Amino acid sequence: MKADRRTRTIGAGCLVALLLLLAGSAGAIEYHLTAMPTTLNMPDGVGVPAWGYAVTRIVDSGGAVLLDDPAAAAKVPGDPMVVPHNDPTLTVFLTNQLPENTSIHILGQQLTNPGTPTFVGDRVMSFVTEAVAGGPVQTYQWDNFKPGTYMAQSATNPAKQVQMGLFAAVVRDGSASAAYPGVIVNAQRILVFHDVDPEIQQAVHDGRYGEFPVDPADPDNIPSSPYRKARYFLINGKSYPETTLETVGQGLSVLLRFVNAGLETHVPQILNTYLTLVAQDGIAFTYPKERYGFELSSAATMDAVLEIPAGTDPVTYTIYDAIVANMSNMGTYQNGAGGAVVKLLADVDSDNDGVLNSADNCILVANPNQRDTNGDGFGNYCDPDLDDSGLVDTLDFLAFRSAFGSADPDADFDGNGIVATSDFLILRNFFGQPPGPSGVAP
Amino acid sequence: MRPHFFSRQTALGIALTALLLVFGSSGALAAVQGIEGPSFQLTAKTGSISTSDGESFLMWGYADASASGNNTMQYPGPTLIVNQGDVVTVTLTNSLPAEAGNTSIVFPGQVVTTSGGVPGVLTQEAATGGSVTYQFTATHPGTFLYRSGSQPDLQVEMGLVGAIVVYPSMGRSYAYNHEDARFDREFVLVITEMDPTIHRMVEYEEFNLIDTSAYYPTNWFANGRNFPDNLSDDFVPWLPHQPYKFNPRLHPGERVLVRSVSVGNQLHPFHYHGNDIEVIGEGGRLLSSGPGMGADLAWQAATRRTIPGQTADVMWTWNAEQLGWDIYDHQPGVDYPRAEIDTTWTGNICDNFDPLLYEPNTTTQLPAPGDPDYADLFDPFTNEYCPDHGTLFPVILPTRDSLSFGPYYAGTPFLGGEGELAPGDPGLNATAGYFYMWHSHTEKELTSNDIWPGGLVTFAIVEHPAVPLP
Amino acid sequence: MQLDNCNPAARRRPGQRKGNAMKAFRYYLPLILALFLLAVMPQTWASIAVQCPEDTDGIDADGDGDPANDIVCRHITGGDGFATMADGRRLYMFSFGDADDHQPLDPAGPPVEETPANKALEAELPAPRITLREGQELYLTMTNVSMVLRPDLFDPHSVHWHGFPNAAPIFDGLPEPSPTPNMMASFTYYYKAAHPGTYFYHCHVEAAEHMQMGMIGNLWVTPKQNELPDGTVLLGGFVHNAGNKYAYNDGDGSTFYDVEIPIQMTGMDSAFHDASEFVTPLMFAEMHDNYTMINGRGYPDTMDPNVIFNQDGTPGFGAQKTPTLIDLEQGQILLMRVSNVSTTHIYSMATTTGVPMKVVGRGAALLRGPTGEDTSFEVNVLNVGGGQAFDVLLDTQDVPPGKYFLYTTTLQFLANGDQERGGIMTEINVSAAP
Repeated sequence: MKADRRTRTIGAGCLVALLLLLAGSAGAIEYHLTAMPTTLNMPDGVGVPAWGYAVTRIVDSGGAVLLDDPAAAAKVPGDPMVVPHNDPTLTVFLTNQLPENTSIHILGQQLTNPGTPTFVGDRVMSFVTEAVAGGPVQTYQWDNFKPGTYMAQSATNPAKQVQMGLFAAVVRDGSASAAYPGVIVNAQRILVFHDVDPEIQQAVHDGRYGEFPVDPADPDNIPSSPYRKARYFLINGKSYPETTLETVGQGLSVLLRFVNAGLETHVPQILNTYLTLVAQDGIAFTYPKERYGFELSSAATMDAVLEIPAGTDPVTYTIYDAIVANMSNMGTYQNGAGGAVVKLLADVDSDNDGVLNSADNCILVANPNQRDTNGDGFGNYCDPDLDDSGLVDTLDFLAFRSAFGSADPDADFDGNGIVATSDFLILRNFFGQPPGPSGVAP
Repeated sequence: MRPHFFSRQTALGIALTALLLVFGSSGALAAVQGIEGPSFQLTAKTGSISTSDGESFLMWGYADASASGNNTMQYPGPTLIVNQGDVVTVTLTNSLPAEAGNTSIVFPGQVVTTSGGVPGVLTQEAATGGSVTYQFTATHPGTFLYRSGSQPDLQVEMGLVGAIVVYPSMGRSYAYNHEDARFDREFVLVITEMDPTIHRMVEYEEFNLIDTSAYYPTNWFANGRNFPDNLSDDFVPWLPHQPYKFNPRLHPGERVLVRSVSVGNQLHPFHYHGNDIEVIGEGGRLLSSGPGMGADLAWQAATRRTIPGQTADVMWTWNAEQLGWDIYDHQPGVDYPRAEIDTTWTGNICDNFDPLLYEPNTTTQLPAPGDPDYADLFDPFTNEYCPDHGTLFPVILPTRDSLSFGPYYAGTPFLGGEGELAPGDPGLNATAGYFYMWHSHTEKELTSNDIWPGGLVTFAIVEHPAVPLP
Repeated sequence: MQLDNCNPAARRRPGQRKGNAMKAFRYYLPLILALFLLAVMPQTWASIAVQCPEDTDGIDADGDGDPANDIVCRHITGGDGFATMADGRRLYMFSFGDADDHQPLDPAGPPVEETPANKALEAELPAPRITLREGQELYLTMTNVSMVLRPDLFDPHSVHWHGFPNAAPIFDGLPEPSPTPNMMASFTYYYKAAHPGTYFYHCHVEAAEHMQMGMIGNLWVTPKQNELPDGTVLLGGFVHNAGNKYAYNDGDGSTFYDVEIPIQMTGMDSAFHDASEFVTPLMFAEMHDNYTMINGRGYPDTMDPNVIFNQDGTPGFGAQKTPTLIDLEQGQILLMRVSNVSTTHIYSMATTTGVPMKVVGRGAALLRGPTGEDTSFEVNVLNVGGGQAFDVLLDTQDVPPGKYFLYTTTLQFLANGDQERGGIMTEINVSAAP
């Protein structure tokens, strides 16, 4: 019985693979990456040499160019790659501007064109086809990219190249409506944890890394990494207080996609609530787990749903590494915390205009179009302060009266094209008070 | 010489009636050490602890500053004991040196509101000399933790850590509101580490030289004590700032709950000798597929990685099942009356067991845990595993001159047996209990600042059923 | 103030290694050995004995149809030796050796009393593998043949069957609550293998030292389900064929595998081993593995199909007998018996096959809840702490033929000491199904 099943399915598998190859890359989303040196800037002012991916061009399945920025800078981590739910093929065009060959793979995903591993001496250098340093663009293609949270990373001497920063999150939703079956969320955020040994990265940059056997005349050389000691602990390439996550609204389910690109285990933890863990390494749990923190080993990913109740006040969630020794920036951030800490603001939309208060130039007045003709950070709907004095007073009224009936955009508070009675009513409401309030005014 | 269990019994002169309590009670024994809520007054202050390498180190820790407390800094902090549904209030006063800066407490897994204090990165903080109050409702039973949320890379390392036990509404014999979470005894295990360099820097007030990113611990603790200090009693006077032991003692067949609390900075593969553990809860949640399903997602292992900032509820028991020999050295064909252990018990040991149904050493499938017949395998009073009753010890032990003896070897392979000790043996196991090392399997952590033995090691002891336990 | 006082990174970068001069010590080895054996052996030979009863009970406890093969006797030594790291460096080690080739287990072999003399410096890395069938009884004799290169040491050794359920201290190998055999003495451990699974064994005497020094081996118990009659239909309609192998008594074939391989991850701290060899103080606080290995070898030695010998020129002793060659036909299911026995680090592992690893066992227990709920899980990365063991299935049905890699994603341990691109890594070769 066992043998029968195998024979049958193997045949089918081969056929599918063949068809996919014939289909080529038509319709695939394309990411054009350049691997090149960059610098990680730490809050203590130190710049650590790194290697990163720059996303220079994105072309969607329909051929539309979503991004074209040949001069894009490399980042650590590289910008996330998003594979559409309805188009499971990812193609990466990798340009190598590093001083050595590189390659790219994604654990848990099958490269359709892995090529042949490269050996130097009797030991593997690259698990898959290399992009030669300064050489032609190398194409990597994943047909049938499985939904979930994954990490693209260097497949060449990973102890060195991944450590230097060659990694990026890759995500794909399972369907238009759900990240995983039954996991329906309103928003998603990616959190890539990683750790940095500045000494080793400096040595790689200086050409002092990897010499073997070690020449005793080169005492500053670092031959390999087992004595690595991470000193910086980053989330999305930043260290607190420079870490950021895009604000989310309230009354929402937010999918937090965690990736550990570091060489150490990290333990993401949230305060004042629980998360629902729904998938690990892109594989959905049979039974979701309610946890306030979890182990995230090197190269692992975890997907967690944060339910944000609807409220009237903004709430800030703090996510940090429960290995709290990692809450420092090389130990120099006294009387506070640094390192692997990030804040997620769950904001309210008081006027229900679809713009969260922290981004809304009229927090209490619904103005979905955010019209702000004088560019002062107060939307016209809540900005009868025509002289920018900070107060709506008689001078503003006089200016308004002289504009009455005209098309003066600044006095046209409601944006209907003419300064009219409707605008006067707005001014009257604000009389004697400051403009706003605005979430974006300086 | 042949072991003589029963003569040992007589010699010990144990008050046998006390044993009724042990076997007759269905309630949990050995309540955890800690302070009862729901309101707590904690002060963060300095003190110093002793380590097994003979050193002492400056610590920052919590003291019970309530009227009934001793206001003594302790490591770890007092275990906070509350009941499900309690509105818990913790008032923290900062009596640390000014150089320590503000301090605070975070309560992972709890929805906390604060009053007073000043804003900090993770929560409201108490400035030097000031106070802050935290309040949460203990909605869920389970095991939780608390620790500093201010400059935690330094303050947690310095000792501002502790455990929280929330008892379920089913009562204090349960970890969660389900029969699967019932236990006979419970123990809190708080695991921490120490980088002595940091403590010396603080002691010498070289705050500007502290670099927590160079963190490199060289000492490891169970309940703030190294081995063998963690075997000494709770509140021994020579460890004034380390009041809690970790030395589970139990009788065969009892279910022990270990509330594993990892408040430090490292993962430790914690290994339980003697038997597999069953992990029934993680992070204050029963491992369950759904409401009312009990611990149906519990998992077994001999080793579990402890995760910083995480807790686990771990069940452990030991009953000599399928060992293949008689741990009491009962001889084949001889009846052993229970009355020799307790005069109120009648009959012979294992006389309920029908050997015709369950031949030892046959391929007959013995009932497994969960099977209604499983209990038939064990003597109802001693929990002896009856299929091995009267099965002879399988090997000949070498002569004494060929062997080295440990301090917890009672000179006999038999539980509660009697044997001859080697000359000079300290005889630390007078009741011939079975000692099981529970320890980090990152074995370098079995040392204290370079000194073997020490570190994250302790022993659990299975005692003969006749040995009274508190 | 030296902030990095305790940080090995600050201490043990290149150019600071222990002197080579001490290596001359090895040239005097035979002389030391001879003197040592002369001095110690005669008066203690009597303590060396192997206990091995015959299986005469007429009961087929392991269910394989033969009632007379349920007792397994093994004889191992506890002593010292050398292992060759993948970069060519030799490290001194303690470990167990194989003495099954002596009397009485091999009636044609040398007398058991000669075990210490014949097996001096024949410690193996990893220690000899022990495989049992569920229901069998193991009489495991360990003879402490002493550490030949450390005449200053009088250490006993022990065997701890890691993960044995309901262990009794007398056979648990802990030196604190049990007796342990001195040099030139034997101790016979008894175990009834009631529970199948992936275990390992190690010495528990001064465990931080003796385990770091290498005293660890694989120990597996295969389930009775392997012995079922041909054609037995299991739950879900799975048909058992004679010769089928399973990791556990799963009842439904879910732990069926075609090929099994040990993945015992470990490491050695060369500074610690050198300190031991040259009788300088041991540094426990700074212990930090720099040579990381699978089954006692760093990559690419994991790929060497041959025994690795521990001496240049003369062959020396073949101390490292376990390659980690994974050659599969597409469609086969691989069982990886994964463990980590490092005394210093947790390692995570992954493969580049693109298919997940299905974890079906943990700590020598089938991943099933108390009521039978399937708690197995799939991951692309598996974190394994020291003392942990996992049974991991890799189904190659969807893996195209090719060369893949199994490696630690704790990437800093892809090293053989100073040599990068080594350590915990091996290759997985998948060929087309015939």
